[in-house]
Amino acid sequence: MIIDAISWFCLMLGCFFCFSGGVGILRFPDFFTRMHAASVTDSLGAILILVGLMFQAGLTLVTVKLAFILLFLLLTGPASSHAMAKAALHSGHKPMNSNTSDDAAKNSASGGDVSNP
Amino acid sequence: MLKTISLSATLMIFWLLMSGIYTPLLIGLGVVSVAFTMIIVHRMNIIDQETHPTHILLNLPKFIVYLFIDLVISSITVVKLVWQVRKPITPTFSTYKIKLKTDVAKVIYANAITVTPGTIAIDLNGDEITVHALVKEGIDDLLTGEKETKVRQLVE
Repeated sequence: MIIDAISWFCLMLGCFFCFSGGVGILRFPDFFTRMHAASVTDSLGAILILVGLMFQAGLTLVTVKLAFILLFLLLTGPASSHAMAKAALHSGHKPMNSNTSDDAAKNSASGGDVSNP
Repeated sequence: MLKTISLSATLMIFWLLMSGIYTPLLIGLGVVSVAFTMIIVHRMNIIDQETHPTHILLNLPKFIVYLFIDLVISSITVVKLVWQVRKPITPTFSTYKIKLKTDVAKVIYANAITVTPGTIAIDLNGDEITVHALVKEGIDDLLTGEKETKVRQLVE
């Protein structure tokens, strides 16, 4: 019963973090800032959901397999986001800098997302 | 030799945990697979400090705890920025020098930066690392060098 409660707490919290990541992807102004939002989904969101599932599975081999999934997710996640960021930079996508970010943030605050051309 | 033993033990434990069926046939197949892998690895001559870093194993739990706490804190920071409509974000792009010597240390450091939400390591050139942060505080935190110290403690 208590384990069920902890498990559901982890799952709901994980859902919230994944959802926030999704909202961040829509709301942030340019490619690089959106990537930061996406990385919430595949770090803390994934951790919490998998830990919640581990509580559901109990002390079995399934838990071990979930732990392996988590391990490999946390090892490959940074590699893929690094590859994306570097590819974007190499193909000439300029990150917006702090000076222009104030205006962009104001825009995004007043009405939805602003996509960088 | 020690590395060969530890790698084959790791592979065998991995096989046993993944299979979950402990009949002589499947365990035997596991032994054959591990032996075959070890022959290939031996012929390729790729076991060394870099591909099988056993020397960091002792310090690893402490580093993982530190990294996990850092990850939770920065995730919460980013989620706050997602929901706080009024607070402006300050994306910062910066290149700075790191003092880490070995390739393993540099890769661990860059991956530790990328795995925490809010900062991404984009490029690593010699001892210069390029980082993009969602808010300027992300870069300031990295420049204090705490993460670098933790990585140095891990690999040395």
